[in-house]
Parts: sequence; structure tokens; C-alpha cells
Amino acid sequence: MIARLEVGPGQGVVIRYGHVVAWTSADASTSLLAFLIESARNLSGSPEAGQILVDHLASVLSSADPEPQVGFAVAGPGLARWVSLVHGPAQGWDGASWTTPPTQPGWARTIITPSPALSLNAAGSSLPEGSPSSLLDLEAGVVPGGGLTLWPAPAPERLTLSSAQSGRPDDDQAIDEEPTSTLTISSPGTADPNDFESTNATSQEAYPSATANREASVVVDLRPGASGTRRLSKPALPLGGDTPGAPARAVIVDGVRCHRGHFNRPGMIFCALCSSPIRMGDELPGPGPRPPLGCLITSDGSVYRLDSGYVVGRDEYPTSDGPKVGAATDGRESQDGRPRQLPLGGDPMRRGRAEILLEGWDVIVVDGGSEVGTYTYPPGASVWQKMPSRTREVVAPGSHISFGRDVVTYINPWVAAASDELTRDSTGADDRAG
Amino acid sequence: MLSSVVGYRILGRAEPAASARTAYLCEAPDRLGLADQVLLSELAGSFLRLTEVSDLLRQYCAVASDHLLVLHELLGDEGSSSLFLASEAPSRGTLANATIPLEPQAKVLALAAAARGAHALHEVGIAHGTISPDAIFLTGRGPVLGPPDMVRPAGKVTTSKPAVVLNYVDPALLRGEAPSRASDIWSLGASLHMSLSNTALYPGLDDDEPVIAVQRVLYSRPRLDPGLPAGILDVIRSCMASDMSERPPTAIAVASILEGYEFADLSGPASKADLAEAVSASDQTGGIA
Repeated sequence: MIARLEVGPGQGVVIRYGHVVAWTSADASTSLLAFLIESARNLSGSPEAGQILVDHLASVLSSADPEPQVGFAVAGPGLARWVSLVHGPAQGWDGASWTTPPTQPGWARTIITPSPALSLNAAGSSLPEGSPSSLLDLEAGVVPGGGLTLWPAPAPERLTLSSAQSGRPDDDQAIDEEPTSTLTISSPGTADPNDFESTNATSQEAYPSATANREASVVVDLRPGASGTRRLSKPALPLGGDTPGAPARAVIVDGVRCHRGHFNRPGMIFCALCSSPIRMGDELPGPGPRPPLGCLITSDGSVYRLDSGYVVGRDEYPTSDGPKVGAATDGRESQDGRPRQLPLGGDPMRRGRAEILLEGWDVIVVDGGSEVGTYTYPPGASVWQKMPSRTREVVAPGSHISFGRDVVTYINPWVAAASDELTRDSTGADDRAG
Repeated sequence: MLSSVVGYRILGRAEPAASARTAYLCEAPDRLGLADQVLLSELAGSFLRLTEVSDLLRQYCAVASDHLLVLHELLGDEGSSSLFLASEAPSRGTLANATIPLEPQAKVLALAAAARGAHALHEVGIAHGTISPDAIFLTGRGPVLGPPDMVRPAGKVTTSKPAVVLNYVDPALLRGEAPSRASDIWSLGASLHMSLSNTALYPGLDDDEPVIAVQRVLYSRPRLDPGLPAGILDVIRSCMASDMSERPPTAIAVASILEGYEFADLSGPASKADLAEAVSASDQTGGIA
């Protein structure tokens, strides 16, 4: 990921959102600029943002190139390495080789190993004089500039050094390590091409991935009779009319049932499953297996079901004390007994992590002491509220929760279903299914 | 020019299924011993997940059904952020993007075939979870259901970008329930509606931001096209009933209803020929008879 991004002088526009960067020459159309800005914004939360954007651009350019004369370049992380696409009169320099688009098709897609940086700028322009120790840094936004130089964050494997090796906790290391490599993006042209080995990108057009024009390293035979394709011994799924089976380790909570037997949160006046009324006083709350508690929607639009809790961030377990993230067990584990991870695309949770738990009918967020902190934005709030470090909080349905750059929204049917039902009669229920 | 991917010689691009990034029509490598073209789909899973994904796909491949897409190989390359799935090629596209004109009855029968495929999965404990017209492939041997999305992280239900995907998601899944027979049946009903009607199940959904889109599906009911034939509407209503107990108990029950449907209600001939025959006819006439 990006440790620092420096904007170079000159004409053009530099864009950065999350770990997606782009540069365009000054003659880029508004629509191209808007496309790059929106794409960077939308993909900023994805761990494979660069791959997705480059793939998409390659797909578009393969069918038509609306602005062949315009120089632009984009770069961002693929899952394993950085990827870039350089178009028109633009160039990329990764510290070892140049990327310059061939005349046909006029753009090049490459996999990059910044060593130590990546620069993107106009074709023929000189390399920006960036320095790893400079304090100049574009964290996010769209600014004028003739190119950019990008220093990636330390490679992940460096974070695995043991405390004994480093003399300090692993978590600290991620914060204190000097960046080890840089990426620069700018327009091509001023550097002496004789100084460097030029990258002939002609054969790299429209690659779906690093596997283009190469054999696969692993082939799994899926045909009938191949090893491993034996019949399953799993039981058939319950019939469609049956209520989904309770998980093997169901949590028992108090609730009320509608006349069809659906188990609901106490206080509901309509069943969240079938919308039938639950009249107060008809039934006293009694115990039953807790149903799932809704879903989480992440910044990239992914929807995760809340039938178990989630660990947020990449670390497996926190190392320090406090209300330990991971100490609670109710709802933290999925049915297979392993804690699920909530994959988020923004900054990793460096010092500890957060966790989302299910307790009773409530969803709880536990701050794990991460440097970036955990913020909540309940319905009706006007500002984000920072959680004190290593505390826990019940999350109101409809709340947003922020972990660094990532925002997760909690949607719970056990509240709003009632209000929906109240408005249904005036909205034409006859046309509706069910 | 891009000529091959993971050893497969590319003949042209194909419309990728919803769970794929890109797709290509390719020449089958000699080791497969196939004369037909194959579909090579690029999946978003990294090489690190190859073992896990191949285990899941092997479970799918072990299901004996003529109504499921035939898979050939899963391929990966170290360092790549993609996996590649080689399967039989849908010579006529998908139900969402058919390369031939499809009459309404052909669409109904395609849904029936997909329902049979879904039932075969259900009987061995697999819920599909992502049935939509994109997942129903029109092959030379008739319509079939494609494999579930095997590369999604644990707990992920769907995506809400683009929101149109939510048209096919049972609201029960947004309540947090795991995919099931009932949720797949809901998706079959939604797919039937979306295939036959030009009206949206959730008006405004396509323009919604992700959170609003999820709330719209969760807190409102789909609006069915009153212009559809009453018999079809009845099928769709029962599949999409908010109370699971009111839905058909199995996907094969849905298939039977659709296969027995009196096509005189729909525009086109009142034939109950199965889609394979209809497709064969289309090869001769340029359209499905």
C-alpha cells in the first residue's frame, strides 16, 4: 500500500483515493477526468483496486479509445503486486524499467515492482526529484500536477519479524519502519532512455492478469472421474417451507412469536419474517434460538450476513491487554468454529483490531486499540463519535461504523420491519408478492 | 495481441457471468479431448485460494445432473490475482444476454431447467445463493445452471454495487439467513419475472446507493408486473412469498409447474416442447420456435 505520494510540478492532474493513483495530462476531457476520479473513489476501499481499475480500463480501451492523444496513467495494488496502465503520451518508471505505450494500441498494462518507487508523468518529462524523507504527501484528493511519485508502504512480510528480532512488539514495527520502496507516476519524455532498459509493452495489451500468454502453474481437473470429484455425503437441504435450521451452537435468547411461530425480538409489533401482526399481550417473551441479526454493508458495497460476529482487520489476535478483542465468544465464531474476518480494503488495522459481536439481540462493536480508532455514527447523529480505546458499544441499527478509511453500515430487520408495515397499506400492497 | 491465457488459446471474448471478471471463448487444449470451444472465466480469487475453491468446485462437479454447467478445469498461476475456470461454452449466451432471440416460453423453460439444476444441488446439501439470469447458461444441449460463486469470502451474501444484483436476492439473506432451498426458489421467481417483464421489481433500485438499495429490498416488497399472464404471476408470487412456508417446497416443484405451464398465455406458439428442441429449431429458423 502507499506510504507517501508526492505530486510533481507541471501541467496535468494528480488523483489519489486510498491506494489508487492516477495522472492525466492537461488536455484530458472532463469526462475522462471524472471517470478516473469516480473510479478511484469507488475502488479506494478494495484491496485489489488497481487490478480492477486496470482491467476495466483495458476492457474499455480494447473496444474503443475515445482520447488516444491524451496522456494518462493509473496504478494501484493487485492482490500480489502493483499494476499500472499507461496510455498515450505518458510514461511510468518503477526504478528499474520504463513503461511507454506502443503506438498500437496506444496503451500498455504492466505489473510493477517499485524499486524503490513508482513515477508516472508525461512522456519525455524528467523523473520527479522525490525523496523518501520529504514531508510532501497527498493523502487524498484531486490536485494540479505534472506527475506523481509513489512510495509504497513496507512489504507485508516485514511485519512478520518476531518481537525478539526487532526488540519491540510486532505492532509497533508497522508504524515505525521506513518505507522501502517508491512508485512514481508522471508523463514521459525527459529522462534519458539510454539510461534505462525500455519496456516494450506491445505484448502486454489487454492482459486479463499475469497469466496472459503463459501456461498455468496449477491445473485442477474437474471432469467426472477425476480424483476428488466424488459424491458428497452431505445431507439434503431442509425443504423450502421449513424454517431454516438453527445453527448447531444456537444462542438462546428471549423473544416473542407471531401466530405463525416465527421468533421475533421482544417489542416487535409485526413479524420481521412474514409481516403478520404481533399483538402486545398475546404472548409473553420466551426463550428461543436467536435468528441472524441483519447484515453489514461495507464501503465497496459488499453485504455480509450477521449470523456470526466478525474480526475486523488483518491481525489474528490482539497482543495487549484491555477489554480484549476476541475474548468474548458469543457470536464471534461462525458455525465452523472459526472467527470470520471482515475483509476491508482500506488501511490495515495496525495496532490491534476491532471486532463485531452478537450479544442477545444486540450487535456490539469492540475497539481493539487500533491507531486509526473506531468511530460510530448512529442514526440522528451529526458528527462521528470516536470510541474510547478498548471499549465496547452497542450499535444502533442504521449506524455507520468507521475503521480507518473503511465504513461499515449495520442494517437490522428487527426494528424497521415494523415501521415498514405501518406504511404498507398506503403503498399498494396488492401488487406485491407474498 | 493477446493470444492465450493460462495455456488456453483465445478465440474471442465472451460475456462474463456475474461472479467473473472477464470471460473468453477458447480452443480446448488437447488434454481435454474436446472438439467444442470452451468458456474460460476469470474469477477474482487469488492463487492462494486455489485449493479451497477447487474443493468447492469438485463438490459441484460431483452432482449428477444434466441441468448444471459442465466444468473442465480450474487453473491458477502463482502470483496472479485471478483464477480461471474452464467450462462448457454457452453457445447461445446466458438468459440475461442471449445471443439469439428468445420467446417467452423459451425463457420459462430455461428457468425450469435452472430449477432442476438447483434442485440437484439442494439434494446434496448445496445452496446456490446466486441464481440470476446471468447464471443460467444457454448451451447446445439446452439451458443449464452455472456454479455458485465459489470465490466470495465467508459470510458475504452479495454485492450492492451494482444495485441491480439485489433484484435476485431473497430479503431473507439480507436479514442474515444463510442461502437455502427457499432463497434459491425466491431467486428463481425473481429471475422469471425479470426475464419476462420490462418493469423493475424494486422501482428506483438501480439508482440507489448501496445502503439505500439494501434497505429498499429489505423493507419493501417487490412490485410484480400486472401485465404478465395470471398463471405466471401466480408462480412468481408463490416463489417470492415473504413467508418461506408459502413458497414451493422444492425447486423441482417449481420446474414441474413451469414445464406444465400452458404457453398459450404467453405470446408465441402454444407448444410445450422443451427448450433443447426449441433451441434446435432456432438453429434452423434463426429464432426459437
